[in-house]
Amino acid sequence: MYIFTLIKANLRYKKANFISIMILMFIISIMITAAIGITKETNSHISDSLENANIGDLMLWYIPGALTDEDMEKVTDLDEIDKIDVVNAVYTNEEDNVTVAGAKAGQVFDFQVYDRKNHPFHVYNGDLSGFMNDSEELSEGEIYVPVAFMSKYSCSLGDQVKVKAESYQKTYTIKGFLEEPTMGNPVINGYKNVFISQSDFEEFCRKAEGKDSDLSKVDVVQVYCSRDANLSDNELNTLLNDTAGMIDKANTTVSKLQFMSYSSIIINIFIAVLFIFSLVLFIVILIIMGYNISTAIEMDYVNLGILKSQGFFGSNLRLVYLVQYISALVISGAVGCLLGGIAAKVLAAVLVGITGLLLLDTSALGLSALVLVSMCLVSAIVVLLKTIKIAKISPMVAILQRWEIQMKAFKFSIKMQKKALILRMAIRQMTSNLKQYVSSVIIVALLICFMMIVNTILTCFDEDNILNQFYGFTFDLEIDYGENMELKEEVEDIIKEHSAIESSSLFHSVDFTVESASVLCNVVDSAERFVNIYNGTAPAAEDEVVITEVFADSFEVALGDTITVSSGDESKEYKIVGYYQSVNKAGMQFSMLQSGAERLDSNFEMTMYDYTLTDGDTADDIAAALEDKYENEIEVQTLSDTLDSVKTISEMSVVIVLVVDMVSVFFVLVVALMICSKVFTREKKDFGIYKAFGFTSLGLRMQFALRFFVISIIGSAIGIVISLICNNALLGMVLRVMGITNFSAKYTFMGILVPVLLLCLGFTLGAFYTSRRMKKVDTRILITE
Amino acid sequence: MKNEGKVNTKEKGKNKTKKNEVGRKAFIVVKDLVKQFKNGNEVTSVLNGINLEIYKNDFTVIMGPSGSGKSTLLYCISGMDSITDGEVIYNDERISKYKEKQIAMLRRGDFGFVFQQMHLVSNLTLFENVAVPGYLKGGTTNAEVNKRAIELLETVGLKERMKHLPSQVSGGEQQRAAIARALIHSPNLIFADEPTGALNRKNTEEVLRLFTQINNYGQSILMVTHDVHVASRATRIIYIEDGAVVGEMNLSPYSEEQEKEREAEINEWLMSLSW
Repeated sequence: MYIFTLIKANLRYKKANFISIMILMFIISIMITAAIGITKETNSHISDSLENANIGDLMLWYIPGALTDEDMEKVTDLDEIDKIDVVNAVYTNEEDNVTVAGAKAGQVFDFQVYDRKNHPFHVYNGDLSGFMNDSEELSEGEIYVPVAFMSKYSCSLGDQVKVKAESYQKTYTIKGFLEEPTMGNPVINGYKNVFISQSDFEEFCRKAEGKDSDLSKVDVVQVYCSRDANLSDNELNTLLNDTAGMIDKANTTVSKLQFMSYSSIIINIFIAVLFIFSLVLFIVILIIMGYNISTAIEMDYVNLGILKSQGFFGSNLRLVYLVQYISALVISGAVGCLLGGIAAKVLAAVLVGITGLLLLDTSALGLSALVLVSMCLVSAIVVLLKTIKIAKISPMVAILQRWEIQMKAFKFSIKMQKKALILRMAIRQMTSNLKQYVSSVIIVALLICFMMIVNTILTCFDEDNILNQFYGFTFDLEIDYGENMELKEEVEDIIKEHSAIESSSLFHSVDFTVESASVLCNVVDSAERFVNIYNGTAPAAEDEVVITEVFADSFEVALGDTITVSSGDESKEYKIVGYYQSVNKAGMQFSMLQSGAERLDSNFEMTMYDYTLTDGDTADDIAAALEDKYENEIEVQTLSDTLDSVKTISEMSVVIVLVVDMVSVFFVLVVALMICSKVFTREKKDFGIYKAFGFTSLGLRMQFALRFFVISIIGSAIGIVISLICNNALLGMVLRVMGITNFSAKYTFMGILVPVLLLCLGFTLGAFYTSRRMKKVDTRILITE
Repeated sequence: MKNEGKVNTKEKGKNKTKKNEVGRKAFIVVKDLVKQFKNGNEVTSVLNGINLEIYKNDFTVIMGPSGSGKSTLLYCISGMDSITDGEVIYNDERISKYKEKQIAMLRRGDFGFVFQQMHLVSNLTLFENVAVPGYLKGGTTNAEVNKRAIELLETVGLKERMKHLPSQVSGGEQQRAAIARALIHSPNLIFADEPTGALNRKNTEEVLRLFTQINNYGQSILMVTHDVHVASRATRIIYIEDGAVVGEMNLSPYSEEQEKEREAEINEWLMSLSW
């Protein structure tokens, strides 16, 4: 019972402290519950969605006829394979021959029949809050498109998808948006599946059969493993290749596990940032709690002594602290946990347009509660450690008030003089009791460090950095001449009308087989194109390759090892001479020289040129001019076209930065109010003295705020240093999921200034606001009646 | 609301009160001063319509039993505490109506304070405690303030200890530093609230010697004490009880030889006021 009486007494005078801690815990609880809910649902939902759409364990794309019936028979006869399913698709050779709501597609659309029976993709309801119970078959002229189209092309139900190929023109009306967990997520750029009616598809196919048709067919083969097969991707690839050369014959392959990984990349990055941020904020709570307890013990020293003299044990009093802090955390954590469920639903709704997935069941109360209980246990340990000094309080010393904070002569303290007196006083006040500002410095340092790290994500995903940092190969303009190489000179003349060409070189992406797995290979004509080798060297000989760390991990190879690369029936060995990184295909790729590719395939031909322009800003104008003139003869891409998949992440990082910055500023304000309020109470007498000798309230308030400005500047400086030290490692860890394994942060003046300014201003204003009570500091405080 | 509280004029003491000489001009005039404290709905009157005048160069002492309101009166006069009713006039200016900034300006030049508990800023050295208030005053240079602070510390016998923090010197030394601090602006009036209340006998004598010395140089002092020995240094004593002035006594300037007689005379006067 005594506990409640003492807690009640404490709450009466320290209400604001507990409310502040509760607010902070409430925010963390919401963030953690939402993050756990989204994470849990993402993994299970992607899996369910792939199951629902009846997606095979491996998806392979073939030129019709490349895979024979005999090949398929051989494979289906295997015990490990349950069945093979073939879906026919057709696409326009020129990707921009398709428009969505008036915008050029900019990527290849594989038109397929919507097969409600065999591949029943979820169809979203009108407001994207759920799925239709029973998707409708499509009528002629209707089309289902992935939901990510909504944000990419700003389209809505009823908008038109137009095919404007020479061989076939057709206008489709968007009937619905699908949850398409294979090619539908924005990380996979360049190819998208869209679904039309059987009759439309048949007409499309007929047009593709003509000799001069600018349409092509493709067979999408899905391989389903037996229930008890339990094969890894590599084992399955080897099995299929050894049995029927299925991997070698395929244009490209993607496994179900890869689809799951691609679909969750953006969410995983977002959630990883959210988790780390929550952890940082939790550390802030622990620091502030420790600070609160220390100052509370200092201020209540006499009262604690009195209680001890009345028979209370140190452990009784420590229990009071424990119960009051933990109950504050538990109550706010529980409320946050409940509201976190709602936040997760809101977040899931926002993520639909970005990830293409509707996360329905985001509630994870049990797991969230477990995490919060763990946090409370950690907090309990901190409370118990910080209250150890209660045991050492001597009732006699406390009651006689012999205990007081002794000011120490600070060796390097600033000299007091008339000039800049307020600033000097602020620094003196600070340096004479540095201990009480340590928590503030640590909190600002932590938040600044995190804000800077998150801001770096934003900076690094801007278009200037992206190719250099994350694509491995840089260019302003990319032109595929195909069979029209004779146009090269003419095209380059047009380019030169806009900008001089700084350099040009051949580039080609092709899928080769490595240990029975189809892997993207970038082929270039010059070693100078490898601008992003961070370990080892660029390939100089025809038997040398460079790889990504994702590739290295997947095939368990390292620098100096040899890999076997196959194309068709040909296989050659290549030595790994360096590492680079790329976000393309989430980092699963390798690169070699043109001579290396020709060594493997004597018919290997490169028709695509990458141009670096003196004036890169003209690239879009040049592309428009070339597309006008050579609409069906060449394919032109600019940097911005290439960056589509990364753009989504870039947009997400803007949201992340905003959330982190806002929450950080709010945290700093609450923390500033708590700490400043304690310091203010402790120094109230000094302020009274200063006032008695002619200092005005405003002057003293400025001195008080200035002190916290200096504190936040020191904290910021430490935060910046920590960020410089650990930024690359931390972001490298988070961004690894998308293929960035060697993150090298680029700092901008604004990227540093904005967080520093926000926090310093927050802290200073918080201090200034807290010191509003300065006016009420009556010199009566000095009167001894 | 004026004079709502209990007013005790103590008629018996009134007869013994000595009058000030006619023609001396008061530089502080207190009229009908009322001070009440509110605690919820409960109102406690501490000063009940005080009227008095303070004269230049005087060493005025306010005496009274515990809880009589003497310290409150001191702080109300000095503007350190707000008043409920009445007025305080300083050099013909109604300072009881002053805003915070105006009061701060008064403290920067006209008034100095010495407290019972010294109230030195704990993280400033003795020298800095004296000099910092001096930096606030306009029209002086840094060097001038520093010079004066050192001179004052020398006067109070603390030049050798000026670089010490308050926690590193004795209570008496702290109080002497506080007196030096009060003098840094060369104020018109020093308000001293029981300045020897927390000191031992030796230090008390040292501090009293200082007050007498500066008063002899013409420094006006308004001091609160309940100690007859301290009061004997005064040239004028005002006695208050239950928030009202009940007696006043004028004395000749202090001399050590007459100390015993002065104390006896004051004691007798106080006894007549039921002290």
